[in-house]
Parts: sequence; C-alpha cells; structure tokens
Amino acid sequence: MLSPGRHLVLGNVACGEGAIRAGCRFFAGYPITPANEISQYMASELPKVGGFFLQMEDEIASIAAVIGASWAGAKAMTATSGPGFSLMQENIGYAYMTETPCVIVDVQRSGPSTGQPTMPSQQDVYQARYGAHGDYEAIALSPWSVQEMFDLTVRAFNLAERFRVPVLLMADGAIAHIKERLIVPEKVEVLERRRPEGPECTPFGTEDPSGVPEMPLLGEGYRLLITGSSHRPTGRRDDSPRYMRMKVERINEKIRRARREITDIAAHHLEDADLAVVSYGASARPSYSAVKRARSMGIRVGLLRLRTLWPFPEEEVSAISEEVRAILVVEMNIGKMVREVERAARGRAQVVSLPKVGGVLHTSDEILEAIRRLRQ
Amino acid sequence: MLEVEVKILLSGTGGQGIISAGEFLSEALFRAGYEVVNTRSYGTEARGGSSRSEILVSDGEIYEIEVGETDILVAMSTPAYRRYINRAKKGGLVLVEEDILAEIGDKELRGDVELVSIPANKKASSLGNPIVANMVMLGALSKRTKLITLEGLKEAVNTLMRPHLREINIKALELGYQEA
Repeated sequence: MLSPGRHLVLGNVACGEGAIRAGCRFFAGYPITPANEISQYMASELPKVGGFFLQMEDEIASIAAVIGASWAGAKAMTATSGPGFSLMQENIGYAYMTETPCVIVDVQRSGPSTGQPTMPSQQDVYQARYGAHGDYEAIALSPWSVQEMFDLTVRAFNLAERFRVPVLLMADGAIAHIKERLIVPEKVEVLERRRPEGPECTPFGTEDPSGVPEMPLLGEGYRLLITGSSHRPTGRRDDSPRYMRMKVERINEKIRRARREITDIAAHHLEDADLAVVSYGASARPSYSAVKRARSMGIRVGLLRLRTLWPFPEEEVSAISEEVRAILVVEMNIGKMVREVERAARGRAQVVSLPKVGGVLHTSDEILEAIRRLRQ
Repeated sequence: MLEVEVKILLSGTGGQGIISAGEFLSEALFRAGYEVVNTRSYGTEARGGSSRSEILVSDGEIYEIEVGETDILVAMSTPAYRRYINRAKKGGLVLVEEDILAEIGDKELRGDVELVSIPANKKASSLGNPIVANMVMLGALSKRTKLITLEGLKEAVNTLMRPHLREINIKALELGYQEA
C-alpha cells in the first residue's frame, strides 16, 4: 500500500489504493485493457492486508464471485472494460435484486466490440444506467483525475454499503492511464454495513417502503434465502404481484428518495456565467482548460462537472439552464448524456452536443471554438 | 496565464522503453517539486507498434491531459520522427536518434527547431545493452533543457529500478549528458 502523502501514480493504482483503504478485501476479475493495473495492484496488495485476489475464468464468474464474497461479509470489487461489463450485466441485475453491496469499475475503452482496445472512451454511460434487465436505479460515478480515482472509489464502497446496491465507477482509459499527483490522506471515512443484531431478521424488507434492510451474512446462523426470483421480505420465494411490486418499488425508491444525498457535481466559474459547459471524466479536463481560456478572453462561461452520472443531477442541471443562454455538452462518445441535459433543461437554454469518437480526447482548442460559436 | 508550462513528447517503437523513459522523467520532475501529468499511448502489439509518452510539467495545477504542440520532442525511431516532427513547436528542442538522420531525406528536416542528433543506440550498445538507449536520451535531455538535473534523474533510477539494473542505466544517463 501507499503511505499517506504525495505520490505520482496511475489512475488505476489510485483506484486500487482507494478500494483497499475503503475496506475492500476481495477482488475477482478477468484481464482486459485498460483495467489491468487495477487487478495487478489488487493481486500484489490485497494478500498483504489479509484479503483475497482471484483471477477467474471470465467476467461472468468474476462478478458472481464478488456477489458471493459480499454475502460472506467482504467488501468486494471487480474491474473491467466495456466488453467485460456487458458480460457482467446479468449478474449485476442479480445484485440489484438481491441487494448485494459491491463495486464494479468499468474503465471505458473505445468500442463497440474490440474497437480500439488501448484507447479511451465514455461510451458505456448508458450501459451503466440500462445495461441490466428489469427495473432498478443505478448509481454511477465519474472521476476526472487520479485523485478522484481514489476519492470516488472510496465513495463507491460507502454508497454500496449505505444502500445495499452494486455501485459503478465509470472511469475511462485516459484517466486510468495517466500518472499524476495523488495525495493519500491519513484517514478516509469508511462506512460499515448495517447488520441485524437480534435473533430474527427480514433481510429483504423494511417497514419503510423505501428503506434499506439490514444485511445478515452467510454462516451467522440466520435462516437465509437469497434468490433473484421474486421473494417476500424474509427471502422466501413468492411470485405474487404484491410481493414483486413491493420489492421493485422499494429497490427503486431507496435510491430515488436519496437522490440529493447521492448526486454530486462540481461547479467551476458558474457564478456569473451566461454560457455553461457540462462534462465529466477525462473530457472535463480539456473542457476546464477551454473555459479558463475563454474567461481570459472575456467570455462568461462556466463548467458544470458531473461526478455522479446516475442518478443524473437533474435539479442542478435544471437550475443552471435557468441562468444561462446555452449549454455545451462535451463527452467522448456519439452524444449520450446530452439527452439527459436536454431533458433537464426543458428548452430553457439551448443545448449543443460536442461529441467525440475515435479513441481520442477533445482538445481544448476544439472546445474553445465551440464555446465561441455558442456566443454568436 | 495557462497552467501548463513545458510539454514533452517522447516517441519511438514498442520495445524501446519509451513508456518507462517517460515514467522516469516524470518521477524525477515530480520529486523536484513540479506537478506532472504523464500519459502513455501504445498500439495493441507488445513489440514493434508505435509508442508515445507525453509529459506536461508545471508549477501549478494541470488540467490538460494531452500535449498538443510540444516544447521538447524526443524521436527514437524513423516512423516516430515522421509522425511527430510537426508537433514540435517553432524554436523547440528536438532530440533525434542519430540513426534516423541517416534514413530520412534533407527535406524531412525542419530548419525552425533546435535539432540535436544523439547517437543513443551506439552509446547504449557500447554499454553492452541497446535497451538503455532511452536513458542516453534522457541524459541528453537533462543537459539541453536545464529542466531536470542529471542528479535528479539518477535519483529516480535509484529509487524505481531494481538494484542490478541501476549501474548500466546511470552510465547511460551520464553518456547522454556528455554527448549533448
């Protein structure tokens, strides 16, 4: 592990370090560029803190092992890229249904398919929201720096434990593969799982229709039934409409109700802005440079950076749309989150997409040019 | 004022140690107190594809990730030279492996940059291992730019490299420093 203090490390290493400091003690994964340095770091560091690293036969087995480890009491994680993330989706759905806390890192690369495996993208942002089957609310975070690879990995574990859900860290091949400063703090705030104390428990239900139940562990003596099929609060299978509706509504409502607690944005220079750039992850870096350059030319533009993609920071974007004339959405895909921005803006500000595909980042020149066009 | 002060682009062919040269230089600059953003880019091949390491160096926060026009270009293979020579800023420093100059035509040279030829392959071979040509180049870069001292580079080698590799890499740094 890294000592507290200043280090020059890869984004992927910062992610692994954050995971271990958040209490992760189990990692299962299958090799894929550009996520490999996370597995490599976990393989070398987890055994030193009494944790387990497993290289599995594929991504389906990897996420299955992570879910099993979580029920055995470990904070557990896997890391992959787009194609592997696709393979995991069925079991991610199982994790939503069984309310299993775990963290899945998708270091996004340029696709579809094998595409440009060594080059970055942000093309899986909808896969994070809609990739699994059925109805659920996803939590997906988007880091823009090596420091946030650490900080948001810690947050991902805390959110997973708090809400008993899989949490998705939607990194990208650019941030994963840069080396820059990481400050490892002396202490990180770590949230522990709420576990039942008495002799009885209802592991899949609460009085509150949008509550998060306490989570018993396998082997503690509770009569524990865990199934992806419709079940009663006790875990017993029951596919009557009543129980399924109760379940599906609760696993959606527990996230919806906590939207304000979960959503997280960073606002840069927005106080007096009449134009806004919305961006996230690696794309927000050249966006920020472009905003600063535009400011030096007297253009009143600010940056709204999405640190949570899902739940989408709808209220925040909506509020900005009332203040500015136009919003430029900068992302490394064909134009995806721009639709959410349009929906939240409801026509109050003009919304313009600045997509980028081909495995390369926007340059700040391109973004600056787009900002200048908005002004006309 | 922009945050990014100095941009460096190291380029060559997979297997030449471009990524690791970038890591050593970045670590040395970071230890000297600079903020550094070091990116790497490589083909899907383990050997023989293109390989590039870019470093942004500043005494403040850095938001850019990629180097556009570069202040310092290091080219260690002819394909890399051809691909990146036009990324060198006017008046910038271009360190070129000597063998490349024998392969390219006069028309491919640029008159508006400070072009320095370094016999990195030859010097590395004289040490018994051509793989340390990357370190010869870093030694030359240290002499020509004053951005990082030779001592700073040596310290990074001593910290990051396994003990049995240190001596030859330090010698390679020294030879490059003398050569520039």
